[in-house]
Amino acid sequence: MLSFGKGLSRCMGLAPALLVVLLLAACGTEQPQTTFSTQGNNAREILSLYNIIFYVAIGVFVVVEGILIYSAFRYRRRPEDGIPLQIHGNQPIEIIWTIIPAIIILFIATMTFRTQSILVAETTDPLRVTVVGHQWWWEFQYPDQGVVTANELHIPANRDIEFTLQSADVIHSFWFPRLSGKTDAIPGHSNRLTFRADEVTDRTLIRGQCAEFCGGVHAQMGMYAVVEPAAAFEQWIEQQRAEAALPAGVTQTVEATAPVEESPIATTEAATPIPDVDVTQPTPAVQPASLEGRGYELFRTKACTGCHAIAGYPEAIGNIGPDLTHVNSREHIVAGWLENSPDNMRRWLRDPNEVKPGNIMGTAIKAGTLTEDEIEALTAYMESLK
Amino acid sequence: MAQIYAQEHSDSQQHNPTTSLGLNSRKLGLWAFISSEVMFFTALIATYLVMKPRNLELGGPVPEQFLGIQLTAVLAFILLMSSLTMVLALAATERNDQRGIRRWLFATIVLGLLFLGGQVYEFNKLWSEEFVTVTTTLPDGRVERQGVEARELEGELVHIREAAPAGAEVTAGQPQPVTWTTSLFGASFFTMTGFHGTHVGIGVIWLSIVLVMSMRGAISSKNSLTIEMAGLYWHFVDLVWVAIFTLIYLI
Amino acid sequence: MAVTAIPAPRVGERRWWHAWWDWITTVDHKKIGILYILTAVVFFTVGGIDALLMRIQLGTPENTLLSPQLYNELFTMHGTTMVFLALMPFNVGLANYLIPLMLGANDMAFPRLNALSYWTFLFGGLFLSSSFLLGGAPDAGWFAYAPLSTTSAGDGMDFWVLGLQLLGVGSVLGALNIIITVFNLRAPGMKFNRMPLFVWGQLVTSFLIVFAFPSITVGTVLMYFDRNFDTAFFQPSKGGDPLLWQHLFWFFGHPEVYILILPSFGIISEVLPVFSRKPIFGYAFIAYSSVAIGFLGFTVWAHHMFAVGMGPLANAAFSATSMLIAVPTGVKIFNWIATLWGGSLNYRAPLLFGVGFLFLFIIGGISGVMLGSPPVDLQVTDTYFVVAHIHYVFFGGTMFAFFAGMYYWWPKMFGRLLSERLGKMHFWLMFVGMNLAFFPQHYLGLIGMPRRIYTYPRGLGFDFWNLISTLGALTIALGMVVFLVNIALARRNGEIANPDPWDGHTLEWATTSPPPPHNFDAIPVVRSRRPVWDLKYGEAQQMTAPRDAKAAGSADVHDAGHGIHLPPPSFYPITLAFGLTVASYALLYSSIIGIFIGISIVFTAIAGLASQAAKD
Repeated sequence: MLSFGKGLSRCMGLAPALLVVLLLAACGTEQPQTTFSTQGNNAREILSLYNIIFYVAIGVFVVVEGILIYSAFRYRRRPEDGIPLQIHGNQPIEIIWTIIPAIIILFIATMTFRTQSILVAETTDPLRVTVVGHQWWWEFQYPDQGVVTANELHIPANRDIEFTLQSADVIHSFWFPRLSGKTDAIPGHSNRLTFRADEVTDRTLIRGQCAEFCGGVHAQMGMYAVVEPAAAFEQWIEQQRAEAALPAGVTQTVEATAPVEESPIATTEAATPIPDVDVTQPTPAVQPASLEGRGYELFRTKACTGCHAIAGYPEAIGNIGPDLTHVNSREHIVAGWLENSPDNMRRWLRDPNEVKPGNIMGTAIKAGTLTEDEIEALTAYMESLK
Repeated sequence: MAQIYAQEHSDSQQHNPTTSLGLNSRKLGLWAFISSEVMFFTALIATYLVMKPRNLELGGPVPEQFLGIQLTAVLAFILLMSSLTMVLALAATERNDQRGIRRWLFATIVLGLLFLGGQVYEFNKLWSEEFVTVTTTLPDGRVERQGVEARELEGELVHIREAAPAGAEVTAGQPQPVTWTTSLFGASFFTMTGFHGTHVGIGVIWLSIVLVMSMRGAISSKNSLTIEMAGLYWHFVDLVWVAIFTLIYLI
Repeated sequence: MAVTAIPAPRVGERRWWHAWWDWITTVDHKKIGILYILTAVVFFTVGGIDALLMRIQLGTPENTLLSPQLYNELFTMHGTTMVFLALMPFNVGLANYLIPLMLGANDMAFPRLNALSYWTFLFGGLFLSSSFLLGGAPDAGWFAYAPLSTTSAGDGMDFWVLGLQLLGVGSVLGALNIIITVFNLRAPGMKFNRMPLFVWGQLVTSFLIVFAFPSITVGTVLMYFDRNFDTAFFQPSKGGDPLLWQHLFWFFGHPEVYILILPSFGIISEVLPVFSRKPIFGYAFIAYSSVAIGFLGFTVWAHHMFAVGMGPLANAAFSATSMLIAVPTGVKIFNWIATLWGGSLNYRAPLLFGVGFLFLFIIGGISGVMLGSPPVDLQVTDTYFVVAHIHYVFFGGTMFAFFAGMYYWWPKMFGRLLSERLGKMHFWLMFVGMNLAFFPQHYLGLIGMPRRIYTYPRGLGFDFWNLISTLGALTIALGMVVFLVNIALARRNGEIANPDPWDGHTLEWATTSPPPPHNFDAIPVVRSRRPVWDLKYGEAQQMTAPRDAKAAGSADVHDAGHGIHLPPPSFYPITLAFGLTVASYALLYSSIIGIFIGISIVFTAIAGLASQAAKD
């Protein structure tokens, strides 16, 4: 079979080809979550540290692997070989090659501590955001502005944002690679993370994802950050503060109740029980004229109110699923997994488990639970929640 | 089970000239095992210490007030005495005093059983009686906590209110027994002392078997290693109690 | 020294069940070592199939081949199986087989305990694996973070908790055995600083096991209580702290990775000198740096927790210790390269894997240093960058060293050489496969692919390199097939090996292949670190009878013949292990009767063992 020499030269021949492929693959493809292209101060500091360490690593790699490959080749046994010189060691050399790596490590450590101190620098006039991780979606609260939303985080560019990270159930990890390193959201704890997104001229979408295994469809717990100029951000806040408009022809049946202020820290027991969907509930006596109105009614009769909150819809104060007050203002639905479109909304309502197998909504709504008409109506209602 | 450690040719069990280090392999093995057990109890004690402040923050029981330090001090004394009797048993073995071996082994076992009995009594008291944590929030924001038996709550509350400075707020928590599941303290306390008690129990069984052997005349100065190994284990169990006692009751 | 072929079985005297009974009741360290290794090969294959399924799922974006639940079970079992049921037993198996031989002893210090350790491993592994058939495998990751693990529905995580307890018993007992054997059963003249480096590696590893396992024992006990008795150690809803679990787990978990790699350092330190025809360069440094790594290994655990919010001071402290430990680890590599340097390199399979180990472990070490820097770690932790790192050190490191050791010591164990042709094929498939599978994963992590995800969306740029990685995994699988074919065929077709087919240096080559039950008829007096090399190339050596290495405390019986007393086979070790397993199932299904039965079996077996020990 292959001798060592032949095998190795084959490998060497492949290397340049592989490098070309690598470079081609790197350019031209979208990499929304790359750490190499930063749009925030934390990520930028980390990248510059990474680059330094990377070049040191390349240096070490080339030197050490080079010496290894050289000696592996050079000292191959030849038929005329006798017993080689029996060297047991050489203390001066060993000391030198202990000191040199120690110096390299010391250098890396120093650069590390320098970056760390930059990352914990003081913040000025931060915007406060509370992040609550849920299985498997993200809740965002703006306590000073009185806004609660989900899965799409809006932040003003060029301003410090101070995140308080919490979890409603298990450990999650909040990560927008282009903006910052990650920090875990741990039930029973409140972690702090601060970063500042770079200045932008237009609204910019940045993708993030949960980075701590949280069971089930952890893979589909994504989120988006919308970085926008300060004025646009204020506009968004105003819009989010407003209650959801009632569709035409709908009358409220229950007095409005106060919305939930802060999310409680870690209460698995306190979570609202998942309601059984009673498909045989009688439809209300007066049918609203519009499709959205029918959707509004279905939202109650199909017990969506048990899991979801909509400001202005009194019965809808659930916290098991995302707040839907302005769901149609978002670019994506299902925790960043699907683009927000009527078709995708229908797809989700038709069978949540087909999109996100094993998610919690899928325990209540299965394929066939909603008829096509009902799906149309609910979709129309969701569309109205701008 | 006779002749467990019969060594016909070596005079001294301390030094075994045919092993590389000159030490008996079984004894060395037991030492290594004990070091592993030390790490085990270290982890349990560390857990207890970590849980303690969290427990207090959540209004959990205040250990110092309701753990009967008198009883547990007596128990500690009992265990220390049992280590003494164990040493005396070994001394008796080395001078081949058959009566002495049996007497001191028996004494150690009895003391061990007394200890276990005391633990059972204490556990039972914690389990069946109810305790209340009374929290005094002082005007400057500091918080003091006291544990009170539920039966005596009314009277104690009066005293505490009288003693509190003006502007302090005194609240009483819910009465609850201290069990494994009612508080963090209970969970870590019972786990730690439960495992220790189990180790004492295993030690008692071990010593009983050795006692039976000695009653059959199987223990002599020639195989004192048997007594020595059991003693080594027993002293370890005693030392763990000293550590636990210090950390829970005295600090 | 007598040069013998494999002893022929006595025809007509043995029934078919005699062989089974032999193996079930053996207390011979050589047989036990072989059992460990062959069992580990099976579990490694199972763990590999877990991985292959995962890689096929991830080969394309938004794949629906595997459900999230099944995927989560697979990656949990892949990690747990590989760490506890494959890599550790591979190392322990080699240790068992070789340590007495390398020390010039005729068995381990506690042969029956040795057998017990093996049977506990086998039953523990079967217990853990049976979860797939009994309602679902564990699914909260091999690291089982609370509260996901404490609230996970079904029996899966209970299998994990109890399985690890069972396996831990075997591991700790095995480690105790190795420690006492190394301390007490060395041949005359074999001082500590003349022991083979393989033995040094295993000795330090054993101390790590003894001191680290109790931490996870406590953790799993507390987790069992949380899951089954409503306590709240890790449940935040009742005031517990998920981070308590993480600290308990990683205090064990980090030494665990040194437990997995230190034996490999030992193997490499044996193979490289023999195949270079030179002594190891800097024996003392390699021995002492192993001890240093052992100590320092207990100071770095929270570098797995940089993202949990411990604060910059704690992060900096653990970063400092983690970088510190890189120094003794890295410098060993220079010692190994210096061993090759100026040598006469014989590129048979053991050396191919040895050099491959060096190449791959260097890469793993470099990515490790990167992970030790908290700012960088906060980007790449919990991503495929870490997956790349761990596979370079576990696969490129531990497994390549293991394969080097396999090809090296197989002839000693079985009296026949493995096929060199297949060995080279195996090496190249695995070397190329490994790099294809795992090198791109560094990149995938850096462009934002988290780990433990059952799929990923199109449009994130992950597609191409995931496909390449899957192709690499298939290549590795092919290499594994070649290896399995090799060991299957070698039993019959392998070239017969003489006692010293590789021109070895250490004592195991001073006896037949395979050795007789008592290991040595005669051993050279040990005057250096390479007694067998000295025998061949040094001055005339004095031979001596092997020490009367009795299991400690046993009677000093002098036979007329060898003067060596070996303990007889025993049925009690497997019985004890069985009793523990019964108790484990009973705890799983909350059966009081079952617990009682299990404990009774255990006590009976202990009594049996004690009475057998008395007769030694």
